[in-house]
Amino acid sequence: MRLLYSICIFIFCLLSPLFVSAQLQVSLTQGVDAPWPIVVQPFSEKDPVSVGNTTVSKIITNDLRNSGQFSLIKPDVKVAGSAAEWKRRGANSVLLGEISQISRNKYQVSIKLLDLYHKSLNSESGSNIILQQRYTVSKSDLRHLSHIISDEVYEKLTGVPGAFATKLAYVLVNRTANGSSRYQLMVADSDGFNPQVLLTSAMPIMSPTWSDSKNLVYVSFEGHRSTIYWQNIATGKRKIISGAPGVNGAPAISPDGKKLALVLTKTGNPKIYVLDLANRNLRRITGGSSIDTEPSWSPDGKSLLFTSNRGGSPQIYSYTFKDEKIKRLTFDGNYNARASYLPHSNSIVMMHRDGKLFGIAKQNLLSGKVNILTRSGSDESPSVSPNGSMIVYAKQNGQSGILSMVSADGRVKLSLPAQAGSVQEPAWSPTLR
Amino acid sequence: MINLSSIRLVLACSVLVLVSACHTSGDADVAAGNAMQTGINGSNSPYAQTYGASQSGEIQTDSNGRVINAMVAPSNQTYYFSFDQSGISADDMKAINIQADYLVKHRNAKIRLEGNTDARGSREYNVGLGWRRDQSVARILEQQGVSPDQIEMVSYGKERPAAHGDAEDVWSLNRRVNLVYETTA
Repeated sequence: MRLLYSICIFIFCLLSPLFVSAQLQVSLTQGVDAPWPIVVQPFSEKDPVSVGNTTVSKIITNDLRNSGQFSLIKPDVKVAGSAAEWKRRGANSVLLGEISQISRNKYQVSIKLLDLYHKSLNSESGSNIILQQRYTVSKSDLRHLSHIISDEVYEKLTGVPGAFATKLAYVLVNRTANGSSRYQLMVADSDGFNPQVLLTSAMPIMSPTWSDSKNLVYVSFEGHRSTIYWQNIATGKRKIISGAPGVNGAPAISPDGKKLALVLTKTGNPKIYVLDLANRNLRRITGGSSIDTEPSWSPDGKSLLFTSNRGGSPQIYSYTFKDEKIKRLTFDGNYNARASYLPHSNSIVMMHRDGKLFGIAKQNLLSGKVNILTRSGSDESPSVSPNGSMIVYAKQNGQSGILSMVSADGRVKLSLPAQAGSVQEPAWSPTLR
Repeated sequence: MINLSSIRLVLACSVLVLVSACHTSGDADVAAGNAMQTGINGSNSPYAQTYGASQSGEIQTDSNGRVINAMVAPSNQTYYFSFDQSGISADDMKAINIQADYLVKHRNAKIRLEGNTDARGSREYNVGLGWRRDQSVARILEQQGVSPDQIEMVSYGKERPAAHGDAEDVWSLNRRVNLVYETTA
């Protein structure tokens, strides 16, 4: 009876993805000193193809510009094909494309990326084709394809895989007229388009994280209890992973997808546990009377980072599975929390406070050197892109929370102002392909 | 594990009850196909649940907006805390003991402690901190003879602020434990 009662009162709802008008918008606020000059020519189309109210070439232009790594030179339709004119305008590279409709809902898109300063045998107008691809997609996949093209251009020119064809999960909070709040679990493209509602609740939703490219894990407080759920994005179906009495928090799926690190209060105190998802075997990792939370896996799955106040203030510690050793990693600043590994580097990214302002910082684990990337005062919840190049985080902007991004080297800054409500706890998806 | 089909049944029933709330909430962001969702939003006013249903009637607040706890039992309560602290003030100790006395004499009565923090710091660490505050209140209740079975604890961290803003007077209103009666008999 009690169960039925709490379900009635604290109802939640599973939804198949729904489109809403609240959308993130990206704007570049700071780029690199010497961005790579590139022209993205409007793709030639037999029949003009729109993607929403934009085009494939505009989406690619936006992606490249917002990466901060490129300066986009204005294309000129009249001189299309003239390498000399593009060079005169200062371009190093040119992206050309062609779209044709091959059946009722099938489009063929072909691209060529030209390097204007390297001649070779397969030259066209004296320039070298360094990337050439052809894709066939349905109309609804044109936007996603645009991001895939951006990824390939980005990788060809920077040597690092792109992360445009990825998604962000986040929590959207709206205060309603009667003083209560509406919490929504959202997923959108990494440029803020296609926001979808995965869950709406009158009670808080926290700590969304990707189990893989198709599923999320998060904490929901339906019925005044914290519960960790796993939810499929496409179907909206979900299941409870952890609903122990007390805290069920800070879920983190291991890189191999087989284990869940989480926080439980079985001993009375918030402690780190690892749950084997196949056999439900639960193992406690930390002990004592401190608050231990925010476990985060190393890319090889052999160790965890976590936040603990065992030394007084919240600091970052590591736990190594092999020898079960715990080691304090952070010593700079009076508050370090929510750490994660930065892929392909010996660094971690975390919330950092020195004095009174919260920012996002990077710490090299070999040298111990801390590099402050942002310091707006309320920066929190950093999440790293799968290619390790960008960090998305949340901050306060007046009364509402917004998302911002900073490159891992701190040189590029982007903001993603929300149009309605407070956006918090962004989680960058793994590579979708 | 909860049986999914029974959830659906309950959901369906609840939606019928809540359809009026859905229509009055007037949320332009939510698409028409989304009535179920809107109904759910309109259904639950957490503050009405937390405070409005107080056993002693209207909630009294002081000039700073702090809840003045009724020194009668059973009554829903709010206890406040210092920054990054989970210690109980002397005034609150008296109020907690009154509730403890009632709970000892009414073994079927059950309460829920809801720990909360101010907006500073990481979200999950704040869940830990709110939990510490729950534990502080629970410890006093248990020392007075209240059974652990009568106490349920949840920590919302900084996810359910009572007041909004970016200054100490607002933060101090949010560093709190709400003691809520689930059943009084």
